[in-house]
Amino acid sequence: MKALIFNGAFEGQTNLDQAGDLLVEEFKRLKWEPVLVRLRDMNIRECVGCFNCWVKTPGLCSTADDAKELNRHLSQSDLFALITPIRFGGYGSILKKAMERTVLPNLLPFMEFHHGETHHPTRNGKGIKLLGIGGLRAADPLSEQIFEEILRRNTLNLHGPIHRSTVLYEDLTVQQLKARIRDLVVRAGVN
Amino acid sequence: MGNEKKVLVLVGSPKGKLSASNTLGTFLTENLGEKFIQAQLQYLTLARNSGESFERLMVAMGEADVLVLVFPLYADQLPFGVVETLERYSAFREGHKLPKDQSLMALVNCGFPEATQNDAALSVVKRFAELHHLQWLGGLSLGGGGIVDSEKPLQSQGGKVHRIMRVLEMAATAISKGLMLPEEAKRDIRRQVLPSWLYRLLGNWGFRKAAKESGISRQQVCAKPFINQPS
Repeated sequence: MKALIFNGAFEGQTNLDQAGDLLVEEFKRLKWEPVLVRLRDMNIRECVGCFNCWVKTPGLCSTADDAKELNRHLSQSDLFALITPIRFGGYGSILKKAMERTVLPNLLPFMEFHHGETHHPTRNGKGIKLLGIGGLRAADPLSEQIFEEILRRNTLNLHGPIHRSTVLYEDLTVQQLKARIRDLVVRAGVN
Repeated sequence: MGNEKKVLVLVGSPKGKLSASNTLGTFLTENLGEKFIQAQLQYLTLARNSGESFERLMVAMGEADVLVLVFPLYADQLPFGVVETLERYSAFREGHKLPKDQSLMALVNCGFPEATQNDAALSVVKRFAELHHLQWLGGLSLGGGGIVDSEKPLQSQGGKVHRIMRVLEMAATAISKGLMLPEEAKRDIRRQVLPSWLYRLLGNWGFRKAAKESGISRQQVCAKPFINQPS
């Protein structure tokens, strides 16, 4: 089983970087194959909304950069973990840019009825589990609620069976961080 | 008749001038002008081109009385360019003592027929306003954005967009009077022009047609380019 981990932390967000490393350890312990991508080190340009990945070069983005490799990983993964600072409830810009470039090519253009709404089918015909790890300076229940809702919506769009999330505050110790990550993986039913 | 209020309409689509967001934002800007409000429209995709122009955008945002964000839904949220702009403006506000109160309004459009799909994105903009002490004037959520032609002014697109025009006129009136968006506007814009099943049928036909025009068959549209590649 393969897990793709997008680390959308900014430089200096050490607890989110640590969360990524701990997640890798946890997946390896469970004999999964994790792929951790530190997005801030990648050359990824923003999605221009051309839809070429749907109608001209199906499944492939026309922009030649590191996102192509991320698309390949996503299409072959069973679980997708998103690590990001929570910005006003949403994802941070580093993760958001990568999401736009990888999610769209992995969907088909056609629209269908799914869980009471209109969504696109996935290109590989299967759904993917989503994990969300959000970073905040301190507790902010409203932002945390929005973050959870966005993850739920992403899961609907990626036809995932489940999503699970956790929020990490800056004052967590490494032991607490470790416990949160392990709990997240258990709640996601990864074994 | 003049009004000192400054309104900055920010078009957040990466397609810039060739977007439905531009069509909607332009109509709103013109309508504000008719009400003698100083309204200016900027494209985030151009304003973020260089460090210098991004800084000019921050100054312009800081000087506005009302900010209006108009953007498409991308992967269930604000497009990257809008997130980046808000992150940058958040830091700018912390670093500058902005002397006056500001208000924020948003208009989101998505390619799905259900306006509910925009709600999480509107929650993000609202939360930005709350965290930075901007007055939240309200959000407009437009589903079925595919009915808005990005190449024609809204006023020449016929009956299918009359309701949208009426809502944007209500929004302009609210801005000009310093009021919140009326509930009627928020409710009316969410009403679907087409039933979901018909919207999906037409949308799917449109994508097939676009693929065919690029020489891509129905089977090729469903290609799985990475399926046999080693992981």
